[in-house]
Amino acid sequence: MDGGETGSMTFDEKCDVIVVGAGHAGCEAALAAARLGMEVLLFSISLENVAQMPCNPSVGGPGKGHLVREIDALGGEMARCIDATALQVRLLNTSKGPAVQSLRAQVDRNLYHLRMLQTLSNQPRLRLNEATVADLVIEGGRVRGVINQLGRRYGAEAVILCMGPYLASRVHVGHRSFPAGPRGQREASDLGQTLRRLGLRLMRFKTGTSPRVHARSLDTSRLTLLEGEYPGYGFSFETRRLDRPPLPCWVTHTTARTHAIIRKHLHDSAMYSGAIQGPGPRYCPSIEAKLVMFPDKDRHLVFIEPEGVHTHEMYLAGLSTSLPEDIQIEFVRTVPGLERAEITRFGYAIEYDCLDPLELERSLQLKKVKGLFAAGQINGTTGYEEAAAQGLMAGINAVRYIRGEEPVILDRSQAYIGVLIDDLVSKGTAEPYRMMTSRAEYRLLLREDTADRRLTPLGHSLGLISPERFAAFEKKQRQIEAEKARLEAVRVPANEQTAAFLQAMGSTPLTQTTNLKELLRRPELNYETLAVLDPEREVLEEETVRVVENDLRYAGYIERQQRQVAAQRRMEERRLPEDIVYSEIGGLSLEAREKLDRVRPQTLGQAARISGVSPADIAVLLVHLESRRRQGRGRVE
Amino acid sequence: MNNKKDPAFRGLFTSRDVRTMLTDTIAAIATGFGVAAVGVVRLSGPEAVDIADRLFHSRSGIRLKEAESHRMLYGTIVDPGGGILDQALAVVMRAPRSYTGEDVVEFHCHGSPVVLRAVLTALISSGARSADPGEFTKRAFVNGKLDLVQVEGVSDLLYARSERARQLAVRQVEGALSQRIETMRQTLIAFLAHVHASIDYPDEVPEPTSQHWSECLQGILQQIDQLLAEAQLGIRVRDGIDTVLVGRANVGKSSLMNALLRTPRAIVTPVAGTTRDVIEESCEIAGVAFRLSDTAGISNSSDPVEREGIRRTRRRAAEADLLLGVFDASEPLRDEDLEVLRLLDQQKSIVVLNKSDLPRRIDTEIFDDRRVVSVSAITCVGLDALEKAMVEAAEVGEPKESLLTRPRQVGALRATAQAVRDVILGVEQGLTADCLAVDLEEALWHLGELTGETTPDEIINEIFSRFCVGK
Repeated sequence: MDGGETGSMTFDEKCDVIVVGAGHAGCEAALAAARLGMEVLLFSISLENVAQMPCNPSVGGPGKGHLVREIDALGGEMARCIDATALQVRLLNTSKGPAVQSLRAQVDRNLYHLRMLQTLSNQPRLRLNEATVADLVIEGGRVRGVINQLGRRYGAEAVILCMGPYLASRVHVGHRSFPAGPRGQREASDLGQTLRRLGLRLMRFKTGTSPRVHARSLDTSRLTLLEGEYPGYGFSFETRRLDRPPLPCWVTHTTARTHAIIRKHLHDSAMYSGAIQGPGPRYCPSIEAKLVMFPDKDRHLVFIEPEGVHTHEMYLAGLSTSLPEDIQIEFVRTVPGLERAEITRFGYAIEYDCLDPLELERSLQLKKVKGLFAAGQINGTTGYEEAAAQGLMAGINAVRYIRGEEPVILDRSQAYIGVLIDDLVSKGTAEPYRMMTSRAEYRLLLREDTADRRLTPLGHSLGLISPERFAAFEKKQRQIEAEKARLEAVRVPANEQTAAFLQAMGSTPLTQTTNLKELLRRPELNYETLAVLDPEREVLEEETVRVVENDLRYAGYIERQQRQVAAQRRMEERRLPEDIVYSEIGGLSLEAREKLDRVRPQTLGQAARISGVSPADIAVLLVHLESRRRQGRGRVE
Repeated sequence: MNNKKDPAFRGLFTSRDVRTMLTDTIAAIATGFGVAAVGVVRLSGPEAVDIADRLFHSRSGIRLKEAESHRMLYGTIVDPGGGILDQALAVVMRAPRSYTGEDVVEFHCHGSPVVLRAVLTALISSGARSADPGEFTKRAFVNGKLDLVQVEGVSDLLYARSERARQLAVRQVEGALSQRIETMRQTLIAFLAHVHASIDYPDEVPEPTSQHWSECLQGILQQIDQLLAEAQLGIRVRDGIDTVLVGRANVGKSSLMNALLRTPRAIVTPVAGTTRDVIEESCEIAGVAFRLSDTAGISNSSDPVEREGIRRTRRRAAEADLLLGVFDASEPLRDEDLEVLRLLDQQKSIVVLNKSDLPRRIDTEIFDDRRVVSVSAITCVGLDALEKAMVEAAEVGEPKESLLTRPRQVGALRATAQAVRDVILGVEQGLTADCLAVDLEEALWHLGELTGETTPDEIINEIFSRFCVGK
């Protein structure tokens, strides 16, 4: 293996797992590995920047909130940390069904950082170290350790790369640009050269952020108030309700004047002046991009979000920009309520290097270097939640690699985390990848309220869930099953009393005796209203009731998706041997050969999801597998 | 894209093929159309033996589940209700020693199309799926039964074998038809994108209103219904107009059928059948294909065999496209003739007054308001008029180019329509958007049989091209 430093060497220090970068991916990776018994070293360019949120101070929402719940169910940290530091939470999509209902929190940026720093500091076996990792030590295709910028050598069995957008990153404001990471941090380009030397494919991605303003310069009389829920729900299984009074957010919008200014200066925007090539990410477009792509839209929403209780800074979500500073001041002040806005930080665009995720196995280990894992924005994703989810899985799988155990691979029908990683390593991505509910084909099975049921047994068997928490989890599951059985057993006679109740609820009368479970399936009734017909019921936790209700009401759809999963599983069970040579399989299209060879899918199901691999190619692979199997058996026929 | 290299082979497999290959058990009549001494119904897939076992009782008492591979058993095939369908031979061929490489069961039945169809129906209602054309061969291919060593050779073979079928299929979904289906797909994608955008960006995109839902979906449903109506026509054009001759005994049905077939036109499968069954043959008149079926004469007989024949005649008449009611013009009407007239009321029909070469003694007043043709099956006088009337009654009109004629395409459209109806019903019942989106995806999935699969990326692209979201 070419690249990195080779040869037998001595190390200044040794540990089991090294994590490079202490953002959302790095923190989860380091905590998981340490909690699983490993000696862990976590490097960060600046310890003041552990678990920073350089973009929106908000976590969760559809798809992303699901990820946070799943991280929690597996024993990760993010959910607890949000619950401890949230400024406001809102439950979104309550009218659109339980599968897509999701929590979103505004988070206190500084407190989140401090709470995570404290958790890391309290974690036995985990050491924090402020340093820039400059090189990897690789020997015989296997990672052995890292070297920092001063030449100090650290040995480890596994290394997890979580550098976020710091690889050769460049910040752009107007026509000016300079090498830097988010929020004025130093960038790290040495490691990028190491990765290139290893023959890994890197991509150049870009994203941007919005200006921040001082709260006292807002005219709130011209803004629409967006209040949080009180008491709010929490993300973690361990949190009941958040009892802190929420801070408000505000909504306003751009105007014709805003658009005129931005259009006039479009050539001064880094994204449009030619300083940055190609289009920006679709998932968090700059205000410039919104005007260019939707010229007919006469206004765009602006969400004003608090950054924390120790600061008066407010984030202007929706106004991401790389225009020069004076233009930013000019256009921001055309927005109703922001006429006197005092900008505390200007928006900027940032471009950075990241790995082509097709370089990864589903365990998040790099195919080309044993023991080297990667997680987070370095893998081409965007979002704190996406990063944390990968960090947790990389941490778990690094430990399993060291112990010689099979990696933990979550299925697409098991978790959004499974969808995220499978999409990345099977399809790759041409722009920063963001989780969306439409990516999850089995989303009716992946409800937020069932994240614990789906993943906590696994987290427990891995050793990431405490016995107390697991006991509470099991109790909740028993209650859910018992309540479902009870609702089926409670008979509801077709008498006058029932008829009167049903009429009052706008429901059709009964023709014969039924049970509560059947009544619960009627859209116009719910668990709470059925209390009238159910005097014997015990008081259950709200979370428990929610699962019972959703399970029963959506039973038909759930069964349907489970059947689809069962069919798909046959495809996932067919493993593709590691030594398969796609270029030698006749009948495969040229494109399929190239794609299959690059992705090197581990199952037939994964192969089928690669774009450019047609059903005919899958049929050819089936033939190939069958002929291999028979040849292996010495051709009985 | 290098798919141009071997397009036929590539067009052969759809994503449904691949997905269902590992799960579905398929069944089909394996012998040709028409009457033969023996007809074979074949079943292949993971459940083949179980399904066959439920419907077959061997004389020797040996269950198919326990039967030795490749050994013939004699017994009866019953329908799921227990009614006897046929006396037949059954053979289990266990994987991989079978044509497809899967577990295969074959029933060797009496060759009547009616019997074979009944056996197939029973298998399908017991859990098998009707096989698509070429599906057994595809399975044989993926299971390496056609050639294990030279995979490339196999794909060449398949290439040659399917080129004609593929060209047909491609021509069918080209041009105006494919345009219509693609428009429908785009409408569905746009709507699904709206639903997903409102789910993923609830602060920025309002949910579609229920009026919005129903307008969009009713529009699609109308288009599908129209396509299906045209497809019925397409299938008739391809398979031939199902034409059944009914009449009391001895009015000359068989002679008439022979007269129609004896004319110097293409006679496709002139095979004799068993006496108590319906006899089917095909002919072509003025470019229109007809499938002619002769039936047992309607009589008041109390003979159980004849009663059964009459029962079949009625059933057959009920499913026909066109009935030819044959009457003996040389005799007065009888009670049985009136019975025949009642049968004609149910379907599109032509009254054929046969034996016009003999003195007329029939009272024709009762046939007023009907399409009536006088012929002599013996002299062939009037046959031209009958043929003209048949072509008119068939109503196929000018042959259209863009007709859906393959049952699989029609099945995909029907399934799409059903999924769309589910969504409409769901909207009415107040189902939530998460479930409705899944039904919409199912509609797109079925439509994918005609247009190719819709990927999640297409939906996401649509979201970002239609909605200005993200902050």
